[in-house]
Amino acid sequence: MCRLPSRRSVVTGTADAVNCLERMPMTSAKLWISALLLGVLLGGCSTYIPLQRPQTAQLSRGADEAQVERALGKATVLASHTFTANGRQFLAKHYDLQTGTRQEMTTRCHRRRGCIPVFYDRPIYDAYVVVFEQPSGQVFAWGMLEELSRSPDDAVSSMMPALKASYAAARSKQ
Amino acid sequence: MISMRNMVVMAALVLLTACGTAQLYHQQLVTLDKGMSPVQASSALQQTPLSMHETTVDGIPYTFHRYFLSNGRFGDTYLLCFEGEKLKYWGYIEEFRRYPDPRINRAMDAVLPQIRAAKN
Repeated sequence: MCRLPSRRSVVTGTADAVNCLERMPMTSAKLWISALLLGVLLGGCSTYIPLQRPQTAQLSRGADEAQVERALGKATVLASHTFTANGRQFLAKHYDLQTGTRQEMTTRCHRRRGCIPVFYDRPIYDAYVVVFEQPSGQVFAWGMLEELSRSPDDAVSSMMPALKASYAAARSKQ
Repeated sequence: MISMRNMVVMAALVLLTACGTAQLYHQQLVTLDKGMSPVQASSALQQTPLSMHETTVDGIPYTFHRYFLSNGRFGDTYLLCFEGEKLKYWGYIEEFRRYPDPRINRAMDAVLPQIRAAKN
């Protein structure tokens, strides 16, 4: 059995420590796999960049795709799809907008010491879309999905059911 | 330090308190579209309104569905407004006040006392 070696056993190289060393290749492999997984996860995180409010302040009606790309920087486009609504063709680009953070709690429990609450901040995202009219490629509408659905501008709100259906289809393909 | 048993009891209490009031969450609002009927809207939100309030402005009937929208630790009254039988607008009370259609503003003012009474 591999017991944790006492400090003395490690120093002196007694049986406890030797037994544990026999299992070292397995432990080492686990460590490498964990490190690799962590690397993959961190690599994944680095390619996902949500939108921030100050970036959206630079959007304006009539801007072209290149101007929008400059304004939104490296924000990740989650999906891009074309759709038709009210006899007009549009291109929609979807993003995650970070609207704030919320505090969440988890508990760390220990058999003897009981449970300790651990608080952490978790980002809140909202679905954000920029819609370009085609073929002009100019910005027609932009905002959160629910915001555009209830827009007082009927030209915008009436386009939303088609946009949402097309978005759902695009996501199901991903 | 809190024992495991106390932690479970606290979690159960928090859950029960949350169940006390039916709440909407922001993600559910994406399912709404203008022109939906009251039944379609409730079905899209998967929740019936906490209360309903009716008024008429310039001969047009308006019905307001009252919900409670949760924003994490905070929340507020959230309303759906049907013009006739069609969903016209939805939002917080202050958003209704900013809406560019004066009839909607007046309908909102007319039902607000009922909404406040229903909340208490």
